[in-house]
Amino acid sequence: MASVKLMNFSPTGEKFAHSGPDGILRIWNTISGILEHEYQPSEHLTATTTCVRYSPQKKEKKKAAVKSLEASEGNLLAMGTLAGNILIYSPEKREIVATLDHAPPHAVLDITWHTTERLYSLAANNTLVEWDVTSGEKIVSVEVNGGGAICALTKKLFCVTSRSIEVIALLRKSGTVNLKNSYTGHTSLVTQLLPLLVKDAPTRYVISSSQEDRFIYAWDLLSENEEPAGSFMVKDIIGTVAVSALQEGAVTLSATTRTGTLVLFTQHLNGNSQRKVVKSMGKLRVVSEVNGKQTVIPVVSSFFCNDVSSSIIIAYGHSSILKFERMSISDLSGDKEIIRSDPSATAARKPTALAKIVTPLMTKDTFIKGPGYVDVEPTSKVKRKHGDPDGIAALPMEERLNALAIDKTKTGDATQPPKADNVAHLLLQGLHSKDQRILQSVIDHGDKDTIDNTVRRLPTPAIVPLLKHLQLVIRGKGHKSVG
Amino acid sequence: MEVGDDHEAAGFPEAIHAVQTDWGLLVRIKPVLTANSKYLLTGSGNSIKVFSTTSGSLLEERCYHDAQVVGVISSKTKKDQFISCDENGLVCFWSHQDRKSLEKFTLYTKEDKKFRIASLPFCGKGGELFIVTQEEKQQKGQLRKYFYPYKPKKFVIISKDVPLEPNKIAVSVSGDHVAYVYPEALYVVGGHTRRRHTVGTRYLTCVTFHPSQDALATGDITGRILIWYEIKSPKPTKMELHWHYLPVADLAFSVTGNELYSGGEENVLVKWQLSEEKRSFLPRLGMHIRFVVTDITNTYIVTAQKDNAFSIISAKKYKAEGVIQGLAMNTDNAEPFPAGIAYDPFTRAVVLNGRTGHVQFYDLHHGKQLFHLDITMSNYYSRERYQKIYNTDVEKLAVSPDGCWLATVEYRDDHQSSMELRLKFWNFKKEDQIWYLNTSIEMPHDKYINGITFQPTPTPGKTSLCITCGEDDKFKIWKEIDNSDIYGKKSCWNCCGVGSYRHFPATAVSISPDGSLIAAGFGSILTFWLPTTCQLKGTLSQPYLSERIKQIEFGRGKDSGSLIVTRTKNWVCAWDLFMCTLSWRVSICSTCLAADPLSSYMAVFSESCDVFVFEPRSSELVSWQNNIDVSPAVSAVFVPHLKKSDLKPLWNEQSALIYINKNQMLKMLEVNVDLSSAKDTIAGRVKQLVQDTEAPVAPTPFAALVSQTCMSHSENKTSQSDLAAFGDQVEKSAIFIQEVLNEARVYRLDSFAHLTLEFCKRIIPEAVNSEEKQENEDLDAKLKVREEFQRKTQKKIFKRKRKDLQRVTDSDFSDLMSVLAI
Repeated sequence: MASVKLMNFSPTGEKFAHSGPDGILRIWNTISGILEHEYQPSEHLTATTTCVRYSPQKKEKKKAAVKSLEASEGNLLAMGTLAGNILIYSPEKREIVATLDHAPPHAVLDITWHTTERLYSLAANNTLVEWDVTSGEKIVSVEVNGGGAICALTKKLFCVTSRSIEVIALLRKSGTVNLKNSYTGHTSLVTQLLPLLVKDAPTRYVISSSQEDRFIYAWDLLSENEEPAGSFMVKDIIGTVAVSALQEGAVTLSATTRTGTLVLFTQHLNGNSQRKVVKSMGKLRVVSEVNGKQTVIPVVSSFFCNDVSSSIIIAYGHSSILKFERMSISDLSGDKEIIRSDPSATAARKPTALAKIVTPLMTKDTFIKGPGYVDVEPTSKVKRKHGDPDGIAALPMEERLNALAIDKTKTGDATQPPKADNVAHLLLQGLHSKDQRILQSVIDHGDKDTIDNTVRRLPTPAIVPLLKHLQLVIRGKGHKSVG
Repeated sequence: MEVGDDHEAAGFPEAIHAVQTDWGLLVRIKPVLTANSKYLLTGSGNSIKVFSTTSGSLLEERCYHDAQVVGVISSKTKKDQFISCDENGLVCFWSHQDRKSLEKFTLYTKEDKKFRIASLPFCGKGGELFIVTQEEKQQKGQLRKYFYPYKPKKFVIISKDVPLEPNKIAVSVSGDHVAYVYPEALYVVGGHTRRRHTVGTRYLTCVTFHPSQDALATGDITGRILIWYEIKSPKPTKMELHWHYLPVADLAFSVTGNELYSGGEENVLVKWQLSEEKRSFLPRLGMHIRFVVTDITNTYIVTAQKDNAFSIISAKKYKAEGVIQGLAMNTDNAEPFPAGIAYDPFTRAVVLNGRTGHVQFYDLHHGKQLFHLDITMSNYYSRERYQKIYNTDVEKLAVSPDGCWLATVEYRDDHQSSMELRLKFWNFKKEDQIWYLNTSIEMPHDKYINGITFQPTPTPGKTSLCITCGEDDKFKIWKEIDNSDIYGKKSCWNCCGVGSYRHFPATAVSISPDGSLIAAGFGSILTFWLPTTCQLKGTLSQPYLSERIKQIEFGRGKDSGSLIVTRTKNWVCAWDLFMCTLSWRVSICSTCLAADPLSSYMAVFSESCDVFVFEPRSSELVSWQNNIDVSPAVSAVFVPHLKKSDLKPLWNEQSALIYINKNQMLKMLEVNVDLSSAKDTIAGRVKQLVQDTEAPVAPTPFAALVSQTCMSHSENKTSQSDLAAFGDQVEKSAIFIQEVLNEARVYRLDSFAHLTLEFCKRIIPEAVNSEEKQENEDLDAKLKVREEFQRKTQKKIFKRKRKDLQRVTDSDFSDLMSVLAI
């Protein structure tokens, strides 16, 4: 994937720069997710951008006077082009600060910053050039063994790779290089080389990934061993790789794959070259769900914030429409899938420096309650009687009424459905109203249980009228006009 | 009660500084555009800030001055040179491109100290500087003209009574004429003539010169603009332009002089095309326009708005192109930022009031505003000429601990029509990263809402509860409930509980960290409720604490877990929930209280701009600093640090303390671990607070009762232990009780039955033979009898208490009150 070098997070993770296939540089604010602006270099048609790199954070100077703002002049962006020049762009000022000509027409392959002033570039004609960005001058140009990626370790030491990884020392006086160390590297062209940053100590490990390899390797710069100090199995073609700072010997790695999955690794690097291949500790897939159909939104890049809650910022979306999200690494263990709406589905908002007013959406799902519609679930308002500190006497009215009721219904009876195994009630009604049809229907019952139940439930005062009626029925049997 | 201990014993190594984290007020003075229109320069505070007009971001800050910058103008003599001036008379000449070129001049000698510079209107082609100076507390200033090389005494007084505001005085391009407005007249001073043109009662508000012609324009309070041609003649010709109905705030001619731009409180920028008598409008520019500035390339017009923003307007398209937004000022409220500050863990920004009807998300870590969220979704209504129009504004807000929910209370009361009160729940959907309005509730309370809060830690799988409390004597519990129908799954917020107490206004509310208890302040009484059933669990009050409870915070951490801290106007009190007593109280005239969600520390800010950091378990201070600021804090919040640092003191390790003051500055407290200097400065100034931890709550009428009950309890205990003669077991049980007392968090205590079981297990020895069992049974019976007896005695005590109380209320406390007053 050639586009690996075309995207870069700013050193604090606040901004994300991506140079699209259309040659337009887009800068997002990762916190608010707003596309801040688009920049189209005048050379975008003739010289395709090959790599985009943010300059590192300025070292904060301790000042005696208390100053609130650190000079937020912003980071510069270096863009290498196929035509062989490097554009230094200031996103804050929105202008090209400097144009450095490396070796036209040989393409610039990779760029690395060391400080905010020093920039190193590698071109296709196998030269490495050190630049002073403020003056725009070439400091030194040296021949190297060719390569695809570089990274600066110190002011003098560099890692240059094509397939194998070489550590070289830059000799400024003679304009030559001194090969310090060499490692086996990858089987295909190395696309990314990342130094593992440690606080207040020189860089010891370098992480590398290559075009077609499915492994990420960590190299120990102190060991003479040519083999990697750690290898991480991704199981897919690797896109971008990000590393966290080395904390207590442990490092967290993240890699995006061709299929758009984010893979996470954690490993202790202790200098021993480990034979064992490190397996992923977490995977993340972003999917969108439209009408029950799931489609994968590829994660294109990630960034470790290196903060207390150890969070990671991921960028996902298709080519030039991206979204960002910060999440905690601890949430990403195991296979995880999050559902997000496809950023390209929503109309891409035009970049604007206008008032950043976010108008929240009101959909039909919004629930609006008018005044007086504040329905409250009944709460048992317990009023305490005076002199009853325990509140025992303060029973709710319902229970008190229950206690007063003489014909106490057994609790639980009320819930049972009425039984239909007798017709006593109907019989009573018939006797009261002397309705022949009702009485006949009762007497016509032939089921023994029903008769028994009915007789058993018949109140005493109803016996005499019943007998009288039965007498009538027996006496006039056969006559239709009885009664 | 007054323990006037000196502070030195504790030995405080650190000094706390308040560091401003926002850009400050940007629109105090007229900004200036560079020659290439790419940068905008303005003075804010003691520094000059350079902004990019294309990206709207702050590029650099130049700190040449030690005092308030009163003017930044471009120099006419050198290209790309600017002049800035501060109150104390220091004038700096500097270049925007070349950082090294800097010339400084002092216009004051020591004798002139009573003067201050009010504004810097103009710099002539020969390098002559026009400066308005102000004598102490005078409403009028003196216009002086200084000549190169600038020396304190080398000046000519042009006029002795000029207005101080920067847009009420103007100098013609050639520098030989000065015009200024006094409400009822326009004065034109040129050479040796001084002319006065009266305008009657249509008082003038601003004046500006035409760039090429012999003309000037003035605006007045009725919104009329007058263009005065042939101003050098005694009878100028006037042309009237009238659209504004409110006072014209500022006027600016374009570089060619063909267009005039005017702005005012209507939030509309008007372009007058003078040759064609046409006008065009650009409405809805945010807030009241304060200044209008044009550039020399005719690319941009910049308006400075009252809410601390600049609008960058393209002159050709006459369309707003960008905005430079500082921390948005809350301008419509008498009390700024009524909703206080909340922390949004999702964007890691603080959320606070912004422009009227909006809330703003301000990113502290990068020092810039992220965005405004439109809450009321209505246009801003500017005032009428003689009547104020009230706009609905956000008065309270709360963010749920996971950052997914935002609750806002908007309020509008114009004292004529019925009041508007709306509670809205906003949901940040992670799926598409957009804020949605979930529920809008009209009139959730009958009167003003005093507070709103979310449950600090949600029960897993559920959203936090939200509680509001209002002046209508109620607090309400809101819960997210399922509202799905055939069209899909949805949820809404509904009220699931109401509580009220004795018709006192509900003034403050808080939920315990575990969500098992609600603390609500009703007037001066602290009450406790169960969230599930809304049942009153208990009340705490002290007769002498009769002030309204303004804030309630639950204690966190090991030793502070059973404590709750309340803030009233003059007191900060800590109550022990386990003992149901007042643990300590301290007299502070406080403005706000903040509790760290990650540690047990709390901070309180006082009216006199002091900050005190403490832990609820004792009234002893962890750290403090007097006079950290010039204006008192309005609201404060602890914001978790992003990176760990070992250099910070314990209380500041987890979170940074952020506050906003009355002057609308967002500040962060930073601790300077500097032993030597800090100690010296503090020792002299700091005084110990009045506290009463050791001293019992003696002189209060309640204390007498408390001590009595304590006595009787202890008597009981001793007799009990004698009778029990269970030496070992009793000891064990005592230990157990002690454990329970020490570790239990009141609102997290196990059920009593469970405790009793544990308690019994401790008393009954492991192997109990039958004899012992018998004995035990006997003993149990005895215990029961004694319990009965105890209950009776307690009842007696209770009765006696009540009698005492009666007596207490009947007696006279004037002497006591005098003691308390100290």
